[in-house]
Amino acid sequence: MNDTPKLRRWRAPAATVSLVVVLWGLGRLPTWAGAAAAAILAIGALLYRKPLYRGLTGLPFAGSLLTALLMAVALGTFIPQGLSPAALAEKYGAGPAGFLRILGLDDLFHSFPFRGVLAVLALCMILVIIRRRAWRPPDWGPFLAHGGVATILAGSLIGNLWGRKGYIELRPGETASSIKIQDPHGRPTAAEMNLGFVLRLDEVDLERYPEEYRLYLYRPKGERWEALTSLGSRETGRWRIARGTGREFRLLRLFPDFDVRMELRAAPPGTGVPALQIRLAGREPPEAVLLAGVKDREELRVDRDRSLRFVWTEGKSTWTEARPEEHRIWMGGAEDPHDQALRVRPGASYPLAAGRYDLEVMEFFPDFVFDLETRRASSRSDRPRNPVLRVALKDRETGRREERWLFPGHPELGRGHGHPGGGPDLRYQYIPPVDPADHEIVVVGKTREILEYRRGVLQGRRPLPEGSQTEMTAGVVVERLWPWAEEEPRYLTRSGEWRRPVAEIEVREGDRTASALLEAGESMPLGREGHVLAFEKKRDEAKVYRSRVSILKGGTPLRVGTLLVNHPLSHGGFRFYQSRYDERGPSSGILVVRDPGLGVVYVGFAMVSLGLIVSLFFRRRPETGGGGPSP
Amino acid sequence: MTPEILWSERPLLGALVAATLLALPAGLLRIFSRRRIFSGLSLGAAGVAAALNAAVLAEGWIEAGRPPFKTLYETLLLAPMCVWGVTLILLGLYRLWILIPCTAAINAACLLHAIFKPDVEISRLPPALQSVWFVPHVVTYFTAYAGLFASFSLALLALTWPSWHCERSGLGFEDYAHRAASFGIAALTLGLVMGAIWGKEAWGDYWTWDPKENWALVSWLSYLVYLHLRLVRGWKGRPAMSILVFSFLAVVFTYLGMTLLPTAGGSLHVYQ
Repeated sequence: MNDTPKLRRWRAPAATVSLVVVLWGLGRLPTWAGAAAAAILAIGALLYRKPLYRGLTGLPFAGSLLTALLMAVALGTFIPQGLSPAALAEKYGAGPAGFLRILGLDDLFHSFPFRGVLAVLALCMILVIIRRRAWRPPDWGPFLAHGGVATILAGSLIGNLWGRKGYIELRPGETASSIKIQDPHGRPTAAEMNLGFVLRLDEVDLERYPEEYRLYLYRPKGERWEALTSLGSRETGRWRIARGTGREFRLLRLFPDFDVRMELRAAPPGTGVPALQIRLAGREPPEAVLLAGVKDREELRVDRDRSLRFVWTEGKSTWTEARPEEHRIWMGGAEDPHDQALRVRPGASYPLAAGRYDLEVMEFFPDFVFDLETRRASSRSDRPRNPVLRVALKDRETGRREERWLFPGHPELGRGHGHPGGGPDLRYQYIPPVDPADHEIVVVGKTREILEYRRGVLQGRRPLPEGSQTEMTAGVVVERLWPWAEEEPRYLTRSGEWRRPVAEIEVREGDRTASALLEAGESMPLGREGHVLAFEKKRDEAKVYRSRVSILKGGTPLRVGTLLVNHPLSHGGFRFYQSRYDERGPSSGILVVRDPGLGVVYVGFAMVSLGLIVSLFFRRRPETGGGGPSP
Repeated sequence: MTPEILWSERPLLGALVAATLLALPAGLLRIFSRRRIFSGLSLGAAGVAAALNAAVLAEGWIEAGRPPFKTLYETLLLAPMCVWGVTLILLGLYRLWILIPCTAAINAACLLHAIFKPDVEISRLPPALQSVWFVPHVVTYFTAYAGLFASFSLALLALTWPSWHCERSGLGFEDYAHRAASFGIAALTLGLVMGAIWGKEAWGDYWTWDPKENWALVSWLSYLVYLHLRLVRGWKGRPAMSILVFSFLAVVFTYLGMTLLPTAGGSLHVYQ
C-alpha cells in the first residue's frame, strides 16, 4: 500500500481506534492473560520505539486522542452511569443492556479503556516535553500546559491508589473512630478504615431562610402544575399578565398576621344605621360596635352577668324578652360569621358545602372538662363556662367520617387536617342564653339615655352626654354615638410575623376589576384555561447547616471545629465535609476524604492555567508539519 | 412580559433591550458605511447597552441580596454583559466593527429569552453556592463564553469570506478568530480549574463526572483539538474554523442543553 498523503491523514485516527480496541480487549482478558498481552505489546513498542515515539508526540495523534476522549466523555452523558445490571436491563431491555455492559459503557468513566486512554494521554504529554526539551525558557508555556495535565492525572492516580473516601452519619453526642469505605460511585463497601482518632459530633444546627408567602400563578401542564409567575411583598401594586387568560392580576396588600376590624364612618342622614362605639376593659380587641336594629349586632354580652343593648326607639326603652343559647358554625374562609353562620342544635344533622359534607352535631358540653385518667370528656356543670361542641363531618364523595371538637376560643382545633382531603375548616361560636330576670342589663335608647336594669327591673336612667366618653357600666365606656353610620371592613396585620397570612388581590379583565382575599393555602381559578392563583408559602430552604465536632484521642479533646458546606475541617490527613443534614434525628452526614494526591492535582491546575496563558499570549509559533511535535 | 409591563416593572431591562436592538442596525450601518456618524452611533449604542447591562445586574444583585448568577434567567442577563465587554475590548484592540451587530444579535436573543421566561421568584442561595468561588467561577466561565462567541462569529465570517484581510494589519478573520479563541480558551481553563477546586471544597471531589462537568470538559477538549490541529499542515483555514464553530456549539449545549440529557436528573449543575 502506498503511503500517500491521503492515507497518511488517517494514520492517527486509525492508531487511536486501534488503541481503544486494544485497551478494551486487555480489559476483557483475565489478569494473567492481560499482563501477558501487555508484555507482548510492550516488547513490540520497544522494537518500534522510534516511529512510535514520533507518532505519540505528533500533533495528529494528539488531535485524534483528544477527539476520542471528548467523544467518550460526551457518550457517557447519554447513558446513565453506574446503574446496577438489573436497573440497566429495566431501562434498556436485557439485550441492549448486556451489549452496553460488554462495551463498558454502563460505567464508562471507571472503565479500563477510558483510564487507559487517560494514561496514554499522560504518557504523550511527558514524551512531548522530552522530545521538545520544553523546560527551556522559550517553551515554558507548553511545558507547563502539558506537564500540568500529566501532573493532574498523576495526582488523580495517587488519590485513586492511596486515597480513601467514606461517609459517617452521627447524632449529637455520638462518636466514630472508623469509616466505611465508599466505591467510586459513592456506595458503601464492606471495607472499613480506622481514623486513628475519634470524631465526636457535639451539635448540629440548621438555619433556614426567613419564611415568605407569595401569590403564585399556575397553569396545568399534563399532570403537573407549572408556576408561571409570582408576586411577593416587594411587588405589591404591580400588575402581572396572566397569559392565556385575558386577565391581569396584582397583589394589593399582604398581611402576615391578618385581622379585620370593622370601622365606622358617618353616613348621610337617612342612610346607614345608628351605631354605638364602645370600649371594653380587659377584652382583646377592646373596641366593639353596637348597631341598633341590626340582628345580632344590637346586643353584646359583657360578662356572665351583664349584657348591653342598643336600641333606637322613642319612648321607654326596655329589655324584657329572654333568649335561648345559640350554637353557630361556619366554614373556614368565611370572614363574617354573621352572614354565613349555620345555626345548629345538638342531635341534628346539616348539609355543608352545597351538600358535599354532612355535619352531625353530636354533643354539647357547656362546661367541658377532660379527665386525663379515664380519658373521657364530660361537663362539670350546666353553666356555659367552657362550651365545647362535638361534631362529625362526613364526606359524601369519599364516605370518610371525621370527628372534631370545636372550641369557640380555639379555631385551629376545628381545622381540616391534611387539607385538602381532610374536609373544610370549621369555626364555632357559642352565644349564651340571655334571661333579663337573671342579668344586669344596660340599654341605650334613642332618647340618648342609659337605662340600667337589674333582674328585669329598671334601676335608673341617666343621660348620655354628647361628644364625651362616658362609663356606661363598670368596664364599659361609650366612645361615640353615631346617629347615622355605616361600617366598612378594614384589613390589617396584627404583627409582622407570619401567623395568619392573607393576600388581598385584584384581578382585571378589560375595564372590570374585582378584588378578593386569599388565605395561605387557598387558591382561586383565573380564566377558563385552568389557570389558578394560589397564595402559598415559599419553599423552605436551608441557609446554613453546620456541625460542631470534637476530635479526641484517648478521651482527651485534641481539637474542636465547625463543619460547614464549603468549609471542610482537616485533621490527621483527613478532610471532613458537611455533606447532609437530617432534621428528624437530628443527625449530620459527614464525608471523610483522605486524598494524598490533592496537592499534586492543585500544582497541576496551576501549571495548566499558567501554561495555557503563556502559550496563547506570550509566544508565536510557526506552522509545523503533520509529524511535528505538539504545541 | 409585554413591552408595557417590561417598561413599568423593569425599566432598566426595557432600556437595555431597546439599546441592544438599536445596536443591531447601528452596527450593520457601520459595516456598510464608514461614515463617522455610524461609527459613533454604533459605538454609542454598544456602550449604552453595556452600561445598562451593568446597571441591570447591579439592580438584580441588590434585589436578590446575592450575586444574580444562579438561575438560567439571571445568567441570561450576565451573558450579554460579558459578550459586550469582550466585544468592546476586541473593538478597541483590532477595530472589529463587525462584532457589534453579531453581539447585538446574540445579546438580543439572550435578553428576549430571559424576558419571556423570567424566574417565578428570586431563589435563594443553597449552602453549596455560598462560596468564595461562586462569583469568580461563574464570571470567568461567562467571560470565556463571550470570547468563544467572538471566535465563533469570526470563524463563521472566515468561512464565508476567507480572503478578507484588514488593510491596516493585514490579518484575516481567521487570525482574529484565533486570537478571540485563545482568550476564550484561557478563560475556559481558569473557569474549569476554579470549578474543580470549588467542587473539592464543597463535596470532597474535584470531578464527579456530572453531565455539566462532562460537557464543560467536552468543550475544553474540543478547543484543545482545535489548538493542536490548526498547527497541522492542511488543517489551517476552513477545517480549523469549522472546529471552532462546532466547539462553540458544544459550549452552547453545555450552557443550555443539559436538560435534554437522560443523565441530567442527578446533576448538581443543571438549571431547573
